[in-house]
Amino acid sequence: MKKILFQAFNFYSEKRLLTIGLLGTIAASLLGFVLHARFDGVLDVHFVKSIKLYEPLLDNLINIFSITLFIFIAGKIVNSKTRLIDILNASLIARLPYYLISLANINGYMADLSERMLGLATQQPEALQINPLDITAILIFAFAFLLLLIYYMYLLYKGYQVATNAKGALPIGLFVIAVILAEVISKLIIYFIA
Amino acid sequence: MAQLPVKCPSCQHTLEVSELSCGNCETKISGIYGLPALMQLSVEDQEFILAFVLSGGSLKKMATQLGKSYPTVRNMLDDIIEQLNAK
Repeated sequence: MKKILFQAFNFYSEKRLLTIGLLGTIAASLLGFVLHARFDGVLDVHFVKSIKLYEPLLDNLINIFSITLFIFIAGKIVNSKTRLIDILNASLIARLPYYLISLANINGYMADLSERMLGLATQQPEALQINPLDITAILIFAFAFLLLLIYYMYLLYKGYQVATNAKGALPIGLFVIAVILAEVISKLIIYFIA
Repeated sequence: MAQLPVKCPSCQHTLEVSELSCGNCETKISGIYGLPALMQLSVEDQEFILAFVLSGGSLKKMATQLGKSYPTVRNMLDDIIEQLNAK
């Protein structure tokens, strides 16, 4: 279990990782469609009222492209032997657990809640009263989101580390810069295309 | 069989060979001979190199044999190369 959860990049072949990564991304995109989740940025997820079938898949493809591109450039700087397939697999696999955040919008609960709160906060800030159930839901969502985001970044870094044989501070710095650039570029592409 | 020590237990300096003997006629040769670079590696690294040579230098075969991913095996080899370059 430890191998699957924390050391997948050390033990599984690139073909197996690629197959799982691609199938998982397609399944997660369908889940995103069913639960109205848009992944509009490498680090983002938002719940919407209406959604088209292709939108979550296109979001995810853009995110995977952005993260793979910038992490691959960072990887090539760290180690010229870095292979694109290893970075692509890291990008695909690392995102899989993160997609589970879609489950927070079962029955459209989180989309309704955020819409209610945004509406009240912008139109009638004085009437903004949140019931304890909603506060609990927001706290649980925030905690789960944070955990999944940390796990996503952990897996992405482990994949990058194995692909590049990264050691020392420079690869960590380049990784952070690559993630920030990927976030900015993915948001821009999704904003203009999707 | 006892493992060949390569580091001095007192000061951690690399050991040298000072005596060789023939198991057949008991002839002994004394002198100062440096240990070959490969012998200064850990037993695990020496076994890795042996397996690498026996697999015809194929990292893909090695990865399958060891049950590890290709980049992991390549990193192991790169780390050994780094150690050898430092000697």
